[in-house]
This record gives sequence, structure tokens and C-alpha cells, in this order.
Amino acid sequence: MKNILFVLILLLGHIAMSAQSTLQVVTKTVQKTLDWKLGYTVEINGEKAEILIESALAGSKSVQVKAEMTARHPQLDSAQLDLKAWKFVTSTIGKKIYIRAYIGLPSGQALPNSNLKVKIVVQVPDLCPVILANKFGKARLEHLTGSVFILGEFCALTLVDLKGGLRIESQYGNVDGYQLGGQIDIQTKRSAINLTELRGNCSLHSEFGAISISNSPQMGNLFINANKGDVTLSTSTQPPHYNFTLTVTNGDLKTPVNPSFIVTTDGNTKQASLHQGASLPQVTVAVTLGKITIQ
Amino acid sequence: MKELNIDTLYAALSQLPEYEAPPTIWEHLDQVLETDLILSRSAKDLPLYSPPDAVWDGIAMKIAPQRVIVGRSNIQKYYVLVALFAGCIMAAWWWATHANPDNTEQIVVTQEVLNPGLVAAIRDKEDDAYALVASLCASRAIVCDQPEFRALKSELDELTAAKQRLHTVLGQYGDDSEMTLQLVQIELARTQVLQEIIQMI
Repeated sequence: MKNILFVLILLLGHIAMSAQSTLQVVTKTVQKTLDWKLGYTVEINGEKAEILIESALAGSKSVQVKAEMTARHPQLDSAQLDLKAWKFVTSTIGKKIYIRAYIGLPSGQALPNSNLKVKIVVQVPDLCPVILANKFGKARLEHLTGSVFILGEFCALTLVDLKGGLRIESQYGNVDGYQLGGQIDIQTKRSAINLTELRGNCSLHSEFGAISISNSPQMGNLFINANKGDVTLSTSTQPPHYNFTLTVTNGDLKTPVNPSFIVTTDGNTKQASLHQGASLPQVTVAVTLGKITIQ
Repeated sequence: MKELNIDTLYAALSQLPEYEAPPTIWEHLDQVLETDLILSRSAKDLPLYSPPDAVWDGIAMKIAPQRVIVGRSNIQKYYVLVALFAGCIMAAWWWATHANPDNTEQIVVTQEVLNPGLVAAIRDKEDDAYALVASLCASRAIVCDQPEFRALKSELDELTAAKQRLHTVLGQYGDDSEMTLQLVQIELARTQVLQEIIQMI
């Protein structure tokens, strides 16, 4: 009798453990097509969102949106109930097309127990400016020709082939960029910045984060102001065809042997400069509590 | 339906006035019935004639090809109807899947297995050293007034707030590896700041 009881307890325990280790995932998918005209801006607001913004087919005059909202919970009933907290709204007001995914609850209702996430895919026409705000998630933008403005918080950003200029304000979200053109302006806090094959003029302000830049022949002026973070600049041309002004306070400085930089030290501040001609682009880097490496 | 006041109904009906039909009505009906009777009797007395064979042959020649044509026509109509029906089904399917992607909605249920490593990472207990720093400043220790200490404490508080926000968003099931990794990085940064603070105490 005791043996049977023991086996039953083990069996029940196993069933309970299995139920706890499996999540029921309820996904609601919504697709919409929104009319677009030249001069209209797409503004996307996400929360716990994984967002992909890409270019639509050439000549397209509409914005395609697909959203997959999910609720994860060990109990299917709870997941199905909590899925209803997701609100997905699109609207056109004036010259702005708003796309918004958020968790909306009636006043007084408790927060859902399920883990909630949303995946949003947006296809925008050529020359369509994009504004993106996202908290807790990630975003990938690729092959866009319109201007881009991103406001991110705990949102990792991957940017590929953006030609129309870029402005970013990000906290706790790393920025990875590849082939970025136009005027680039990035401000980050506790985020690493990694830009490869940079094109156009670029201005970076960073706090608590490493910065790594590799140029392209199209790179213009580069300005970096970093606080508590290392800056590394890799140039594809040797010797680099730029004028440099590098300043480090309470940190270190490493420059190539050829061409030789003029290095001066004043207290805790080191400065290195290289002027190779007025027509060349200017690289200005100022770092506090960090290291500058030119390679 | 059952009549509840049947006695009252009968009483009311019995009080209704009575009228006799005028004599001309009965005469007219009698004439109509007489005419029908004469016609039915006369039809039985009519002579019978057989048509010549040529008439039947002519009719047969006209009817036979028409029958073939009518048969083919029916089959063609049948095929047309079937084709139309199939076309409607296909059009409905295409419309549902391709032609009208605007405002489509779909709900699917799947299952995921929890990652015990991620679950454990988000359920780590807070180190006692953080409570020590908090209690130290609550007791107004002199070191807490030093600018360097205050800067570090401010940084620690900021990181703690970020950790708590991330913790809330992550929930309790550890289903987001990237966000869990970020939580770990924030925890590492907190540890580094904490170590610097501890050295000052």
C-alpha cells in the first residue's frame, strides 16, 4: 500500500512539474494595410515589442502592418484572458500614420500574470519618414530611404542601410549600425554603439557605453563625446585620410605610429591631433574616464 | 388555442342577425351546373379519328434531333453550373487568403518549454550588501556625504531602478533570453559599483 502511495505521489509530482515547465502561448495576429502619400510620416509606438521596419516593394503607396501579440502562461485560460489586454491601433491623423501596440486595462483591473510580447512588421514606401518609440524589446530597421527618429529604452537597435538620416535617443539599448548614411545623431546612456561602414556626418554622445566605429570612404565629419566608455575607431585607409582632434580626461589614448600624432599632456588630460589638409573630414573625439583607440 | 369564454362566444354568435340569399342567386347557380353537365355528356359522344402516319413521322422527325440537342444542352448547363460553383469556391478561398489582407485577425495556441536557467537567473535573491549600503545611509554615516560616495550611490540607485523595471517586464517565466542577459549585465554593473562603495566604507 505504501509503495502504491509513493508511486502516486511521484506521478502527481511529475505531472505538476511538467505543467509548470510548459508555457501555453496564445498568439493573435492582425494584418492591416494603410494608405500613404508623399509627405506622410509613419509613427510606431511599441511596448515589449520586437519590431521590424523595412522598405515596401518599389512604387508601393501603402504601409503594410502585421502584428503578432502573444500571452504566455502555464494555464491556457489565463493566457487567453490576458491576451485581451493587448491593444493594437492604427490611425491616420493629419499627415501622420500612427501604429500603436500597448497593454490597455480598464481602471482598477490587475496587471496580467502572463508574459506579454508583440512582434510588429511594418513595410514603408520609399522616402517615408519613420518615428519609432519602443520600451523593452528590440527593433531592426533596414533599407529605408526616409529619415528615421528612434526613441528607445531597454530596446536593442539593429540598423542596416539607412540612407535618409538618423536620430536616436537610447537608454539601456545597444545600437548596431551598418552602412548608415545622411546626417547621423545618436545619444545613448548605458548602451554600446557599434557602427560599421559609416557614411555621412555623424555625431555621438554616450554615457556608460563603449563606442566602436569603422569608416567607409563616404564618411564625413565625426564627432564623439563619451563619458565613462571606450572609443575605438578603425579606418579602412592607411594612413587615415582625416584630421584628428582627440582628448582624453582621466583615461588613455592610443594612436597609430604612422602617421604620427602630436600628443600633449595637461594634468589628467591628454590630447592628440593630426592635421593633413583643410579639405579632409574632421574627426573629433572627447572621452572622460575611458580610452580612445585609433587603428 | 383553448377558448376560455366559449359560452359567451356562443351566446354572442347566436345573437347575430340572419339573412336569406335573393332567388336570382340560386337560379344562376342552377344554370351553371346544368351547362357543365351538358358539356361533360357531349364530350363522350364526340367521334374518334386516327391521324395519318405521315403526321406521326413528321412529328418524330422534329422531336428526335431536339431531344439530342436538349440532352447536350442539359449536360453543358450542368458543367457550367459545376464550373461556376468551383469558381465561387476558389474565389472565396483566394479572397479570404490573399485579396483582402486588410484587417484580418487570427488566434493560434502553441506551447513552449521553460528554460530553467533563465528562470533561475530572474529569481536570484538580492545580495545582503545592498541592504547594508541602504542602512548605512539611512543611519546618516559620514561617508554618505562624500561627493564621490554620493555619485556612486546615485549610480547604484539608478541601476537598481533599471533592474527592477526590467525584472517587472520579464515576468516570472524567463521566456526572453536577450532581456535576461541585459538583466545580468545590469547586475554586473551594480556589483562593480557596489564594490567601489564597499571600499569606501
